[in-house]
Amino acid sequence: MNPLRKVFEKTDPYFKPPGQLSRFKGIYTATRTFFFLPSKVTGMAPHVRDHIDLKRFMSFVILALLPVTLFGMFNVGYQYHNGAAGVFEMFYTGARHVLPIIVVSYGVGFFWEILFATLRGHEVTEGFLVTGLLLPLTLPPTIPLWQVALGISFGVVMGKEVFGGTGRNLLNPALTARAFLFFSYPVSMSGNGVWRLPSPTVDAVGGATALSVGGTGGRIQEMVVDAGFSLERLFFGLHPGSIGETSAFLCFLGALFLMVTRVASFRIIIGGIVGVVVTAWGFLYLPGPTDTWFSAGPLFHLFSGGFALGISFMATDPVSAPGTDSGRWIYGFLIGFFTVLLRAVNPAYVEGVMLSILFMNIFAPLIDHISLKITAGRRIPNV
Amino acid sequence: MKPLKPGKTFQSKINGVPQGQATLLERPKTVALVPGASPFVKLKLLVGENDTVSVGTPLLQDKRDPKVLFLSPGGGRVAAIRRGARRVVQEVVIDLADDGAHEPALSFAPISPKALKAMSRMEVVNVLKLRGIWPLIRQFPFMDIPQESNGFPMAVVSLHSGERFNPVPSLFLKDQQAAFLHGLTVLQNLADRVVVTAPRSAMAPLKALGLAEQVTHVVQDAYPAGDPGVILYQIRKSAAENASCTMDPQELIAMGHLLSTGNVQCRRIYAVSGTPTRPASHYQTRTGTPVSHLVGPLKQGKGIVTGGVFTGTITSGDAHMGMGITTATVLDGVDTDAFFGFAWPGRRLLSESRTFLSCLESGSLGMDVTLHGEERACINCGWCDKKCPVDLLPQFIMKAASTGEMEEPLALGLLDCTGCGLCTFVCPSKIDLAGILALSKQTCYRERVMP
Ligand code: SF4
Ligand code: SF4
Repeated sequence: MNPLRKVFEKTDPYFKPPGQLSRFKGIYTATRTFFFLPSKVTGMAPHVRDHIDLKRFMSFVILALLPVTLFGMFNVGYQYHNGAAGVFEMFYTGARHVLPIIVVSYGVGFFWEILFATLRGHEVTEGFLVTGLLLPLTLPPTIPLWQVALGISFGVVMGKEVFGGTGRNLLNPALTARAFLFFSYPVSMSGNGVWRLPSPTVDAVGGATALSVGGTGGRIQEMVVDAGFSLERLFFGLHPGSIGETSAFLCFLGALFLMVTRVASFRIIIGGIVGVVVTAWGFLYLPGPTDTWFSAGPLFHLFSGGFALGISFMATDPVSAPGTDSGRWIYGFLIGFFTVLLRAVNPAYVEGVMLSILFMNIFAPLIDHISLKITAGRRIPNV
Repeated sequence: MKPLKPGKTFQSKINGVPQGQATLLERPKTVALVPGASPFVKLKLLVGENDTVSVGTPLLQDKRDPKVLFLSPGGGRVAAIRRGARRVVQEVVIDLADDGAHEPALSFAPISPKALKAMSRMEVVNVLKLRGIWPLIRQFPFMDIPQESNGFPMAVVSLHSGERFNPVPSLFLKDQQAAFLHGLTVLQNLADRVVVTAPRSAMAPLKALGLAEQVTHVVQDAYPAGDPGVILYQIRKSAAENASCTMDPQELIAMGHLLSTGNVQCRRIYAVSGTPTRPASHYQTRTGTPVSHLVGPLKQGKGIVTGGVFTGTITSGDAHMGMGITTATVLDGVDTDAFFGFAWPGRRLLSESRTFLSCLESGSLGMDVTLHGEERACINCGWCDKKCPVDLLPQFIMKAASTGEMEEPLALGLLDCTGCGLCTFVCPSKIDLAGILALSKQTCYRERVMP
C-alpha cells in the first residue's frame, strides 16, 4: 500500500467532525485530494463519467504557463547581466528574484482561499492555482514583496471571494490584483526603471520597454527597432518587461497547447489576434501620428507588451469570459481592438491589454445575454 | 430513407460491447412488473400479496385515468410488492407457476390490420389502455403516459439509440417482422406521421429481414443520434410537433403481437454489456426478469446499470428489469482514489476531452460508475454545450433554473432536453446538469401541465 495513503488514513479521523482538528478540514481535504484524487460511486444518472476533473483542467493551464515562467526567470537574469554571463548563472539570478514573488503570491493567496473556504464551508477550489501564478507573471521583477502580498489579497478577496468564489466572479482575479497594484503603486508598476533589476552593468534607462518608445518624431517602427526592439527580439522575448510577458513566442505556444486540448477557447484567442491585426492595420491607413504606436502596424502590436500573455492566459479564463460561442468571438475581438486603441490614443498609458480584458470582463454577461436572446429566438419554441 | 444530418455525439470507444447473437436463457423463477413510470403517475394497486394471477391480469391502474392498466408479465402467485420512496409501487413480483408449459395466461380477441384500419382512434386508444400497452407509449416533452386523446403529430420509433450497449435491431426483429409491421399499423392509426429510424450499420441486416423499407430516416452510428428526442429535434418543422410520441421498438413488437394474436408477448431480447461473469452478449428471456438472472453472478465491487449507461440507474441484482428497459451493464463500482490522479498521462483513461493521452489512440476503453473528481462550481468552460445533441446551453439553463424562474429556461429550450446525459458526463466540475434539467422539467410539468 502507498505509504502516504497510510499516513492519511491515520490522520483522517482527526479532521472529520467531531475530530479535534476538524476546523482545519478545508486545508486537510485540499492536501489529501491533491495527492489522492477521489472517485466516488455516482449517485445519479449518468452513472458513468469522464475522467477529466477541475484539478486536471487547471493543471493544463499551469503546464502551459511553465515555459513562460521558466523563461521569465531566465530573462530577468539575462537582463540583469545584460546577457554577459553563463546560462545557469542568469537563470539562477532570475529565479532568486522571481521565486519569492511566486511564493508570496501563492502563500498569501492560499491563506485567503482557505480562510474563505473554511468560513463558507466549501472546498478550496483549483482556480487559484492559476491565479497565484498569473499575477507574478504580470509584475515587474522589481516589485516589493509586500506589494505582491497586498495585490494578491485584493485580487482574491475583492476580485473573487466577495462574488462568492471561483465560478461566480465577474472579473479575472489576477488582473484585478494587477490593476489594483497599478493604480495604487504606479511607481513600482510603470516607468523605465522597474522592468529590470538594478544592475551595476546597465544604466537605468536601458530598462525601457518597447511600448514606451515614440512621440519624438520620425516613424514609430524605425524608432522601435532603433531602440533595440527588433521584431525578432520582441517575439522571442529577451527584453525588459513584466516577468512573464516578454516572450510572445512562448505565450502563443502555450495558447496553442490550450487550444488544441480545448482547455482554452480558440474563439477568444483567435478573435483577439484578429482584433489586434485588423485594428492595427486599419490605423495604418487612417491619418494619424506616425511617430506613436498609432502607426506601429499589426506585428509590433502583437508581439510587444502583455498582449500575448493576456490573450492566451487571462482573456481565456472561462469564468470571466462569455459562455456563448458567438460571445467569445466578439469578446476576443474587442479585447484586441481596445488593446490597440489604448496604445494608439493614450501615449501616457500605453499598456492597454490588461485594462481591455478587465473592461471586457464587465461586458461579458451583457454579450452573453444578447447572444442567448438571439439563439433562443432561432429555436422552434417548445413551451 | 433520408439520412439525418450528423449532430453532436459521444466519440470514445467503449469496452464490453455485447456480441451480435442472442442466447436463450432458462426460465426465471420470478418475474416482476416494474412500471418505472414518470414521477407524475400515481398508481393504484389492483392485487395483493399471495393473489394468484395470470399473464395479462391487470396489476396496476393509473389513478388519473382508471382505464390505463398495467398487466402481469407472468402467471403464478404475487410474491411481493416492493415500494420505494413515498410508498410508490416499484415492483410487483410474481413467483412463476412451476410448470412452464401450463403457466396461466389470459387471451384477448385478435384484431387484424384490416379491422384496425376500420377502428376509430378512440377505439384503438381504449384497446391499448385496457391491454396494458398505453403506458409504454410516451409523449414528448415530459415522456409522460399520453393524456390527451388528440392524434399525435408524429410517432418516433428508433430501432437503436446509437449507444453500443443497446440490443441490435436485427436480433429482436428476427422472426418478428409481422408483429413489428402490425405494431406500425397501430401507430399509424394514432399519429399523423410515423418515423422509423435506424443507424447506418443496422441497414444491411434489416434489408435481409425485409424491413429496410420501413426505415424512414438513417441516423449516425453514435450515441445519442438515435435518441427519439434528438430525432424529433432534427426533423420537426413546427412547435405543434413537440407533442409527438415515441415507443421502444421491442414494445412496439409486443403491441403488434398482442393485437394480432391476442396473447401477451413475454419474451424480450436483452443486451448484457460491460464486464459480467457471463459473456457480454444478447440474451432472450422473460419480460421483467430478475437482473441477476440476466447478468449472472456478480463479482465483488461491481455495479449494474440498467437502462443504458448514460440514462439508466444503478440497480441491485435482486431487482427486476423494468418495462421498456432492455440493457444491463456491469461495471466497476467502488469508491476509489487515484494517486496524483490529475497528473497521469492517461493512456487507458476514457475521456471525451483532449486532456488524456487516450485521445491519441483509437483503442476501446473501460468505463466505471465513479465520479473521477469532485463537484465544483461551474467554470463556464462550455464543454457541456459542445456535446448537447439538441443544441442547448445546459450551463445557462441550469443557472436560469437555479433562480427558481421558469420563463427563461423554457425560452432557452429546456423542454427539448432529452436527458441524454452527455453534458453531465463531460463536465469537469462534475455538475449534474442532466439531473438538474430533468428536475426543472418536472417542476415545469407540475406548474403548468398538471391539473
Ligand atoms: S442538456 Fe444535457 S441531457 Fe439534455 S439533451 Fe443536452 S446534453 Fe443531453
Ligand atoms: S461543462 Fe460544467 S463547468 Fe463547464 S460550462 Fe458546463 S456546467 Fe459549467
